[in-house]
Amino acid sequence: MTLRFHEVTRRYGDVVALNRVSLHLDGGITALVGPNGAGKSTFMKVATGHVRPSSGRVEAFGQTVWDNPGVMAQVGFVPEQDAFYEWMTGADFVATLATLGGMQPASAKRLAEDELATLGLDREAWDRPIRTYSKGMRQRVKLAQALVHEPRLLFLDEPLLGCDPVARRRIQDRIRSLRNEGCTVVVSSHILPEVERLTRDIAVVAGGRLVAQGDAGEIRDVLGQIPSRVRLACKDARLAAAALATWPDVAAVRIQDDGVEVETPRLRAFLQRLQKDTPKAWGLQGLTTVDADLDSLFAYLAGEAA
Amino acid sequence: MNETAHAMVRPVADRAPLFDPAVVRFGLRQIFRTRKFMIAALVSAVPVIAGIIMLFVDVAASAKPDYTFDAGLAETTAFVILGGTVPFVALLMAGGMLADEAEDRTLTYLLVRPIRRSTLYVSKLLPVLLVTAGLAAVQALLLGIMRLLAFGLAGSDATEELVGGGTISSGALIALTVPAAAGAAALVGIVLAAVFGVVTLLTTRFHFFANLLVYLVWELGFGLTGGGLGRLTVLRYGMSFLDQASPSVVGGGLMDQPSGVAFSLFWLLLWLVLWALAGAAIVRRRDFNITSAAS
Repeated sequence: MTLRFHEVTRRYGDVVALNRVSLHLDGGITALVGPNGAGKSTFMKVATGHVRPSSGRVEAFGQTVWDNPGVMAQVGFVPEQDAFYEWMTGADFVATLATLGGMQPASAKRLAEDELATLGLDREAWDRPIRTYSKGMRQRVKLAQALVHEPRLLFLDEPLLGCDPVARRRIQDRIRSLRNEGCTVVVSSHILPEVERLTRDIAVVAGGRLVAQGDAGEIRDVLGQIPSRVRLACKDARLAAAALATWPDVAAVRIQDDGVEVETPRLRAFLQRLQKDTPKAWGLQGLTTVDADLDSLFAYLAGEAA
Repeated sequence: MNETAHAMVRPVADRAPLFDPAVVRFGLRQIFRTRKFMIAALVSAVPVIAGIIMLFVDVAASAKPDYTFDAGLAETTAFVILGGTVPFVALLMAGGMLADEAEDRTLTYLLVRPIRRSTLYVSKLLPVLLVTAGLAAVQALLLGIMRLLAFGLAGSDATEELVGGGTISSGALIALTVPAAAGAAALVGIVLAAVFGVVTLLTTRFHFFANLLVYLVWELGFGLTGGGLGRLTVLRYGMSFLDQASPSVVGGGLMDQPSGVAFSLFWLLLWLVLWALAGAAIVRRRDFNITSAAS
């Protein structure tokens, strides 16, 4: 087993950032998705030995991760934060970190340049200070330092953040090639469609809990079963609510200050009927669909798992 | 998997090495680029400036019968270098060690290298000690050279008086005093740096003020009072070392009841090791919750 989280909880004071998370990964790419503040970064920090679990065990290659050079020699990590030794050049940064990992300077320099070339960083930029780099260039350098020693377990925290389409494609290609070479990759992102281009294996984290894990299609099916909520702003909310409660595509109706809120499992059919059959007496002034974004999935899944 | 890259990585040792040479080299590179180092280098020039001022005072009081090259150097080293500039250099160099990198969020790159945390701490401390010792010793050496240029090799009438009836050549006098001053400065610098390094780990955000407080209250407050808690201060043993390293020359005039050279040296080195181990133990257990937002 490459990575094993067993009942891992991590608290920061009263805040439970990770709550009894159990996860086994062995090969392939797994996307860790969830809204901001869900616990993805804490997962990464615990997995890479930055912080210790409050309870539970984290193991990689059958050994504890915390303060274990044997494990770290096989781990690569791309942090989310845009942090560098800005005075270094890109090539120097990658090579220096490789030497800190135990490589001889000459080998480190050569492998660093190979990795930067693979990731598509222009040769003329290699010897420029990192502080002059664009966001996409910085992301590639960050990735290169994590890959230069050919890790067997790779953690990528929002690796495509701020990248242009070209950089995005290069990085995605490199991650896929690593998967093909047998590396276990964990990619954290709050943008589901982005990670779906990399993998079908998804682990959803919300409220510090691992609320769903499996194929992206299965997760999407769950998403499809979530009733959509539509808010109708209308003058006579009581009249509208009474009528809507009889419609077949409506699961629930709630009267609110400025109208009614409707839950419908078949949003499209509901909207079509609303267009045709809305009486003027309701005084319909407008409608908004809520929870149409990914956050609704996370909120829903978190609610289901509670 | 590319076996080439793995073959180029040295095998991970079963036992944690005391330090990692690559991290030490990188630490030195980092230090020489910092503004703190530039400030520390400027601070290190203060004793020379103070020495020049004292020279003018000395020249004005040239009739003073017991004044010698060594006594002036020892006094300046004791009160300007040990008591002022060296602690400040140590504070600048050690304050923020690891904490600054945690704040800059670059520490994350070091934490995921195959290096034990205790090794990482010692490897980050060593460059700090080297630079602090270098700057501290250079202060005393420059001061010595300056006074040598001013007074020359010729002794004075006071020399005989100071050595208690015996005689000593000017060359021997310089040979004893300058290394004693440089050694005392370097020793005080590295031990204080080790102390400040630990305080920094305990109060990451306010390390400068915490270290300043430690220096002013513990070292100066207690250290200069002599007995009691003063016996646990770095300054006391640094002064003792300086006072006694060339006792026939300085004549034990710097402080009351100084400890012997051997005991002072032993105490300073023990203190250095204990504080370094304390820092390593803290880092071994400490969480570094490096966040994406600049803190």
